[in-house]
Order: sequence, then C-alpha cells, then structure tokens
Amino acid sequence: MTIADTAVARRMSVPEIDRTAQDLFAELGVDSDVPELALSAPSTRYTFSTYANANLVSQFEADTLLTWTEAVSDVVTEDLDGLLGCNAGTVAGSCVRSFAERLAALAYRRPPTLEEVDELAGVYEALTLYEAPRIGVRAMVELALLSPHFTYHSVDTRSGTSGPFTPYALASRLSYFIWGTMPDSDLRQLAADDALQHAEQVRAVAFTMIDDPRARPVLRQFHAELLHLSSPDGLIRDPQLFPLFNGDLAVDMGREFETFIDDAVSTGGGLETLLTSGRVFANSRLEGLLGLEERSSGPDDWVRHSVNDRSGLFGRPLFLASADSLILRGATVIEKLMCTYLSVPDDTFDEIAEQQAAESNGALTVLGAIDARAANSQCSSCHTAIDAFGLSMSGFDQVGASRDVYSDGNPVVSASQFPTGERFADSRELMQELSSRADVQQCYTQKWIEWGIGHDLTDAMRCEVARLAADGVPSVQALLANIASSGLMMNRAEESNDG
Amino acid sequence: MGESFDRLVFHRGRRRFLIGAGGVLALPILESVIAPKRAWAWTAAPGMPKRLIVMSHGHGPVMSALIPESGTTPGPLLQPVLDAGLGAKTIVVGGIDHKLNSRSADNHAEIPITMLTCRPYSTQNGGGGHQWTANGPSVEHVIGQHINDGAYPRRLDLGVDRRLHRSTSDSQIFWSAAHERIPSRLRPDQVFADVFDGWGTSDPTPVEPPAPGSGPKPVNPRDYRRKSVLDRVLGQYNSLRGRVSSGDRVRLEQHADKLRNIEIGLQGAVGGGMPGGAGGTDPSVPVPAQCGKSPGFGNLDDLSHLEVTESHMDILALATSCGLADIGTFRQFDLPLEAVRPLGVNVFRRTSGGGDPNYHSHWHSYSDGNDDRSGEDFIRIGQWQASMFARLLSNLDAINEGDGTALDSTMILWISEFGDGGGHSVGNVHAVMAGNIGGPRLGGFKNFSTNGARRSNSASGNAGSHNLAVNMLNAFGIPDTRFGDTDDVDGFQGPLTF
Repeated sequence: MTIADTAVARRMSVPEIDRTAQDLFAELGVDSDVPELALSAPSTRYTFSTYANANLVSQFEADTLLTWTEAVSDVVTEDLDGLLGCNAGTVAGSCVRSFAERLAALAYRRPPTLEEVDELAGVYEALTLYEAPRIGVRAMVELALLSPHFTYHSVDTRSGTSGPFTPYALASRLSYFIWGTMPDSDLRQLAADDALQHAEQVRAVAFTMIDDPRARPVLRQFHAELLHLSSPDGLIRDPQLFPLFNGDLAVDMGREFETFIDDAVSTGGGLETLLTSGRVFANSRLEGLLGLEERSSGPDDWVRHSVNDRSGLFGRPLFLASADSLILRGATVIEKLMCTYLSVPDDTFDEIAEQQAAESNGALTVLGAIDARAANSQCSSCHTAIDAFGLSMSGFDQVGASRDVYSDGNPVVSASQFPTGERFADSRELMQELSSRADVQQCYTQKWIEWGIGHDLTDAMRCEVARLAADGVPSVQALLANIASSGLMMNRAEESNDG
Repeated sequence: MGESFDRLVFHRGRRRFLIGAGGVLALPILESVIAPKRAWAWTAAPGMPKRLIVMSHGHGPVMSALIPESGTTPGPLLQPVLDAGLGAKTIVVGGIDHKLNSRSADNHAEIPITMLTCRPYSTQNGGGGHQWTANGPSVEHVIGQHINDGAYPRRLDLGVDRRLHRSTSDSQIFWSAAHERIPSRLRPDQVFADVFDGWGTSDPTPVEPPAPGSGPKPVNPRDYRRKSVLDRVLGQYNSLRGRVSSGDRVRLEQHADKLRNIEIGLQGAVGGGMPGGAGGTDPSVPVPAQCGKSPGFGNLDDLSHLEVTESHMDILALATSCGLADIGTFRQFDLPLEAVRPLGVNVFRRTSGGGDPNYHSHWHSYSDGNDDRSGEDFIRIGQWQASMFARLLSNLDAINEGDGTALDSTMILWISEFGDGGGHSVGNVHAVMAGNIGGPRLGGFKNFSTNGARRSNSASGNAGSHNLAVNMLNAFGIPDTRFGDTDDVDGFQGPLTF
C-alpha cells in the first residue's frame, strides 16, 4: 500500500490532551484536578477533531499551550515530595532522575531514551542553579508536556519508516482510538511483553477496551462530531417562542444524547440501533418538552421511554435543536450517512436567513420554499434530496419537540421520497431504509476509520474499508475491534515518492 | 497592592471580576504571556501613537443614526461618546468602500476577512467542505510586528460571542499571516489568569541563593525558565523531523516556528537587564501609576454578555497602557436576544423557518424596511456599543502619561462589517477613530465620498479601506504607500487626506 504524503503524526486533540494530563498525573500520585487546556475544539463540520490538519498550531494556540503547561506544573508540584516520591532537597540527584524516568515514560508513552532522561534532569539542574527545587521540577513538567513526544502521536515503526508500528506506538494508537487517552498500565505491559503483534491479539484487547467505561467519552464525542452537534451551552432559544426551553433543558438534551449512545453501544447495538431505536431517556423536564408520559419524579430521575415518533440519532432532541432547519437536517443525512459532500453555495447562510425572514412575515411557507428551490435548476440538483430528507424530520421544531403544524400555520408534511423514487412516510421509515443500505454502512465505517487515522481516506484505503464494511455494522463494538486490528491502524504506510 | 488576584479568583467561588462603580482595576507589574519587549525595541517618535486598539462589531450601524445627513455632527448613535466628553478626541470617517467585493461570497465570510487584510480572500478545502480564509496579515498585525521589531506582536485579542463560557472564538477579522486566523479570548477570568499571570501572588517556595560562581541571577526568572524549556523542546522538534513523513514534517515545523516565536521574545530574559516599560523587567523604567493601584471588584456573580464586554474594555485599556500589549482587539459578532434585553431590546421579530431570532435575520427584516421596531432596537444596541467604545476611551483618558493621557498616545479604530448593517453593503462603510491617529485633527465627521454619498449603500467613490490602512501604517512610522493587494483595484494607493 502506498499513501501519498499522508499525515499520521497528528497532534493530540484538546480533549485528548486534557484526558491524558489527568491520567498521567493521577498515575504520578497527584490528587488535584489538573487544569484544562483553554482552547476551543476546531470546527468539525466536515472532519473530526482528531484530524491532523484540524490541529495545526496557531501562535495563539502555541502561547496557550505554553501557559497551560505552566498552570499544570504549578498545580502538580504543590506537594513536591509527594510527586517526586522522595525529598528533592536531600537526595536531589537520584530522586530527580527517578522522577524524570517515570515522567518521560508516561508523557512519551514509551520507555524514554537515556538522552531524554538526561534532558529532563538537565533542565532541573539548570534551573536550580538559581531557583528552588520546585521551580526545577516545574520546568521538567513543562518540558515533558511541551515535548513533541507528548503532543504528537507516535509513528515509530519496528524497523525502517513503514510497516508495523512498535508495540508502544500501537498500544498508544489503540488507546487513543478507543479511550481517547494514554495507555493504562495493563496496555503498557502488553506492549512491554510484545503481546500486540498479531491482529487477533489486538482485536481481543480492543473488545475488552470497548466494554470499559473509559470508551464512553470517545463514543459520545465521535457521534457528536459526526452530527456536528452544538454544545448544550451554545443552544439559545427565545423564551417567548419556546417557553419550556432553558439552559437546564439544553444540558438535559446533552445528557440524553450521551445516555442514548452509551445504551446503544453497550447493549451490542449496531448501525440499525443507532438509526432506528425508539428509546428516549428523559427526566421530568425532558418529558414535559417531548410530550412523554410523566414517569420521572424530577430532574435527577432519568427514565427510559419507548416512542414511535422519533428514531435513533436523528431523533435526538440535541440533534434536532442543533440542526434547527430542515435544510441542515437533510444535508446532515447526505453528508454524514452517505458520505456525499454537498457543494455549499457561497451565499447559503444568507439564503437560509432570508427564507426564515420570508416565512416569518408570511411571504413564504415552508412547503412553498421547498417548491421554490425545486423549481430553480441551480438549487434543485442538491435540494431535491436535502429537502426530502429534511422534510421527514420537519415534524420536530427547533428544540426537538414534536409539532403538527409549521409556524406558518400549515400542517406538517413528513412524507417524501428518495431522488430515485422510493417513498418514505416519515423519518422512521427513512432511517429504517438507510440503516439497511450498504453505502450507508460503508460510510459509517469510513467515518470511524477517518476518526482513527486522523485524515481523509485515500484511494488506496478504500478496499480495506470495503472489506471492513462487508458484513455491515451489526455491532459498533465489533466494528471498532475490527478497525483497531486492521492494517490501517496497525501499520504505518509507505510514503510514496510521487506525492 | 490590595487583595491579591489569586485570592480573588480562588476564594470568591466564581471567577469573575468587574470594576465596581468608580473602582479601578489594577494590573500586575509583572511580565505576561505576551513576550516582553526586547532591548532594542521600537520606540514611538514624539507625537506618534504607541499602541493600537481595534474594536469590531458584526453587521453595521443604523446608518442614519451615525452619519449626519449634512454638516459634521455625528448622529445620536455616538451620543455616549459625546456624553463622556470625548467628542473632540474622536472622528467618524465615512465614505470609504471595501474594494474587494468582486467575487461572489457570503458577505459575512468575505468582508471580515478582507476588511483589514485588504487582500482578496480565498477558500480552502478540507474533508470535502470549504472554508474562507485570508491571504495575508491584517493591518494591525503588521503594525504590531513593526512595534515589536519584526517579532510576533505583543497582542491581546478579546471578544464576546453568543456562547459566553467558551474560552476562545474564531475570528475572521484578525490574521497573523495567510490562513492564520487569530482567535479571540472570550473569558475575562482566563485572560487574567493567563495574561496577567502572577499578579499579586508569589511563588510560595523561597528562592534559594545562587550557587557560588553560578553567574548572575536571571533578571526575569519565569522567562529564564521558559527559555530553558523551549530551547530543549525545539531541539526535540528538530531531531524528530527525520522520522516523519514529509506532510508531518511540515506540521511539526509549523508548530516549532510558533514556539520559536515565543522564544525570540524571550531573548533578553537571560543575563543582562532589559527595558520594556511596565511589562518589561528593567526596574529603571518607571511604572505607570495606574498599574499599581488596588483593585476594586464588583459583585462576582452571574456573568452577562454586557458585563463581560465591560470587563474586556477595562482589560484592554489597562493591559495596553501598562505596556503588556502593543495591539489590542475586541470583536463581537452577534448576541442572543436575552443578552440585549437589558438594553430595552425586546421587539425582535420572530422567525418561523428555524433558528432563534438573531441579529442576522433581524437586520434583514430591518433592511427590508418592513419593521421600524427593529431599527429602534439596533439603534439601542449601537448606542450600547458606542458606550463600550466610550468606556475604553475614558479608561485610557484617565491615565496620565506625563505629556498627555494614554488615549493621546493610542490609536483606536472602531469598525463594523458593513456600511449598512441590514443591507450588507460594502460600499460607503464607516470607521470611528479616536486618540492619536497620526496627526489629523479629530472631532466630528469626515466624509471621503467623492460622489457625495453619505448614507447610501452604494459605493461612495474612490476612497477605500486600503487607503485607511496606509494612514494607519504611516501613523506608526511605516512609510509604505500601499497595503494589501491592490493589483485589481486601480488607484487605491496612498493614505486618505484628512
């Protein structure tokens, strides 16, 4: 396999850095919360936060990373002797060197070289010529966290510049793919024992890891980024229009989404479950918003409901509130389930706003706007499908509640058809059909691979994707274990010369 | 110094600080994350501005409330500035055009990118989608580099976004280079923690005396530590280059370049003394009086968008005047309805097609001329924005620098996306300038339209934002006669003649 100039040494994403720092210093015995990195995640409308190119470093980010390392070093050295495991003031040489070895092994996620330990100990010695021991240890921590060996995922191979990754590099790739953080001691031991050589070994380990609660953050984040969900704290609605909606409800929507993902995957669900499940998790506030039977006793009492009017990921209140127009909902189906990228008109956002304004003053109805786009040859090539899929979800308003009429007063119409003519009555039927389609299963598989490798698929990878998707996606757990143990994740591709 | 910032932050529950009524927010007399000036730093010539602050808002003003139909007295939108007694230090500049509107694009994407870079935008593909990007640095960054002798500017970029609690927000306006956007910091508490690190605190570990014969103690211990760390980190980047693919190498080098920029700013940190004003480390340089005053904090509960904006105005004024930054920016695109309700804004029209009522849709409805109430709303909002501008100016004007106030040595530029907020017009845009703009007399309204247009949405003639950028460069001693890419725009060279 050859890959032209493909990125593999990607920088850790912000959530990965935060989780890694937390785990790293917990292993070093630090009880305090490690400060979080105050950087926004990159925009992931078309990609994932794990993409190498999504994590290019701006000057602002470099500055922020530097100050973050200093904030971390300040916190973790509060109990200096506890961190070092000895008294730096009395046994400086061996104490500091021992700490350097442990710090580097965890931060670099492999046994450090002698030079790397020397370097960490060296910065301590340089600083403590003038400063107290704590300042020297702070510098060691800052050096480890600013190091490219911490910041970038390893691409070290067993030999040469391509082929199987080293056991430690592979353990790290596996850990970040499934847990989004550094390998734990068990995984590091497997690497030390070279027990991750074969696909079967990796697949078995991956299965165990996916069952671990530590996989949840990644599963949630992947699906949230896949659907380009808004953060709950970014959802704002006019209380005059949506009197039931408030910040607490937005947080509830976020929790509902996460619970749905946790439940679907942990119960062995696959793509069909993710797209068609009628399960809804609600507390008393969400029951009120969604018009569910009142079974919850309060905001802290979460109850599972089975409903018929909404299905899977695209029926989640958080998705429907994030994608708050039928155009966005329909476009998400096409781009994220069919892996077909739409050409975005330059003035698309103006168009959406103008349509909203026209609808609000009665100049245009929802269905009238769809008819207008269908009649415009420039619009119809994309909007025939976008609007059809979006229409199936138009029975939900901008906070995800069911509705029978549009705000223009006309009754909701959810029935539509594929561009190829197959009809569907509503979003449930649409999702049922989509979940069984091979191209949708392959697209979902492709998205997980792109998440794992940190870049778009290359043509050379498509055969492997087709192989992995050949049996569909009966279980997310199995899919992830298969991807983790595939050549795409276990081997570093050659860099082609014809780049 | 009064109560330490450390205590204020960590013992008052919520990380919030606002200047209380009549209170003064003090700043640290310490180095910041913004690199201190180097020993050979640029010095403003007499009469020249020392620093630049750019304030930017999404959309634009209600034109008729800002631009006088005749005469030179600005409209009621600028009343808060006049009420603050700052009319004589402010000028409204009208009748200039964004001259890069030849390509079809969403104006919200195109204009912010081109307004201060003065270059056509381009698009970058990624993952099947595309995004708009700039082709060069914006003018304030070029000025900041000039002030910092070619090094990365000492800049502080703040903003307010619809979502208050995020740390940063992407900006389309400010760019350090092609494709390198400069985000805005949103949370004042984090700005304080990061930028004004160490104010009022001291490392609890006592510093041990230097070992005999170990040489002079570094003038700035934190910078010395940073340099010690960065030197080694950069060495690691260098040694890693040979082990990655060519694509990865580019990314690693790009990352290393950014770290190198920080390190360059620390060159003076080791060994000898280093002048640098209040933000520097040379004790012989007098510290401005306002930088050592006791802080006065208001109630630290419940941040609101309006209060965060007030905090940002205060931080910008004091950070720049205390020598912690040469370039300050503030950016606000739009705000949620509940954020502006305290201003008496409550008649925004409802939207039915999706989304919550927001600036964008309301500007459109106002532009359509079918809802006068939206116009009243936007005048209220514009007056509030002007009051924030006035707050920034007042803060600076209250700082005595001996031969004038900090306002007298600061160039301030307030711009918005469009000439007319609703019309998304790129013709006949305005700028409000204040402080030291390099010589021109301030006060009133100056129209540069060559065709008499004042409130029209259409192009106003020959003056462009390119020209205004040249004025700004010249004011800081950069002798260039053109800025940006004017190849496809005839005649837009040289400064505007006031």
